[in-house]
Amino acid sequence: MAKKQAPEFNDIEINIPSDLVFERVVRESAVVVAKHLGFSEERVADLQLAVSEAVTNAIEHGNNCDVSIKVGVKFFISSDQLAVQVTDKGKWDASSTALNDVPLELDMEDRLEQDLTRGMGMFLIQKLVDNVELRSNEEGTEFTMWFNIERGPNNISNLNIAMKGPDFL
Amino acid sequence: MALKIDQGNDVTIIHIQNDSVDAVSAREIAGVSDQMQGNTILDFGSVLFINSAGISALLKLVIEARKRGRKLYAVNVTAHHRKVFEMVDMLRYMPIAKMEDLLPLIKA
Repeated sequence: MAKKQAPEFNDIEINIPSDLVFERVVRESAVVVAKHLGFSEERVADLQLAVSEAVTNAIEHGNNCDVSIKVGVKFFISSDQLAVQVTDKGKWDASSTALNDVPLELDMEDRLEQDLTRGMGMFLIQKLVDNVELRSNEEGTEFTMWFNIERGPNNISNLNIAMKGPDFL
Repeated sequence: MALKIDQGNDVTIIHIQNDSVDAVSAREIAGVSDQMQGNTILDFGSVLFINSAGISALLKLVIEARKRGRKLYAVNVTAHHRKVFEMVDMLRYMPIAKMEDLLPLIKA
């Protein structure tokens, strides 16, 4: 199969106030980008959800819903990958272990018994994306998700949690 | 109001009329738990997007139904939303059904 021609543009940047209503702006932008890149309907929906989860985390946990602080979102596009980078001003205390601690499956019975209804965002992201990277320091957090443009349906076996520096596109 | 609630004989049908079940709409959705009488049917026919904050609101309805020994059903669910519900093991607690299959429940 011939490789998809890289688009003429290679990055898009959006900055939103840390108000959850503006998460919708980013997720709809993600849909436009994914459709433009020829993602299948299923992958568009996966991307939309993963971006929504990452931006919601950044707004709620990174910037504590402080509307004076922006969440930054960048879409980096290459011929075979789309990367979405979400930045906020929060700090993950244990970024080196945070991603590795995300469970592969949820014990919903246990969660319901504990009335634990939140905290599923990272779990969903790891199910939906091809690769993720988390960098965090005193200045903020940078969370990057990679989506292979050509990818088999429902194939999550190629998930690789990268903790090293990004080899950016 | 993004929710339309129909009360029947020992059954409640909640039509979610907002296209997004997310952090913004979650509070309103979770807030209808005290209006759930009998078994409850959630109609997702107008819903285009669901994220984990929205699922959190739905889980609050699941918890309330369980406390009352009642059942919660979902109808008009898209394939992608079904996939997401499966990922978080939601379907054990909120099975997806066809509205016509639930008619006996409504007419009982």
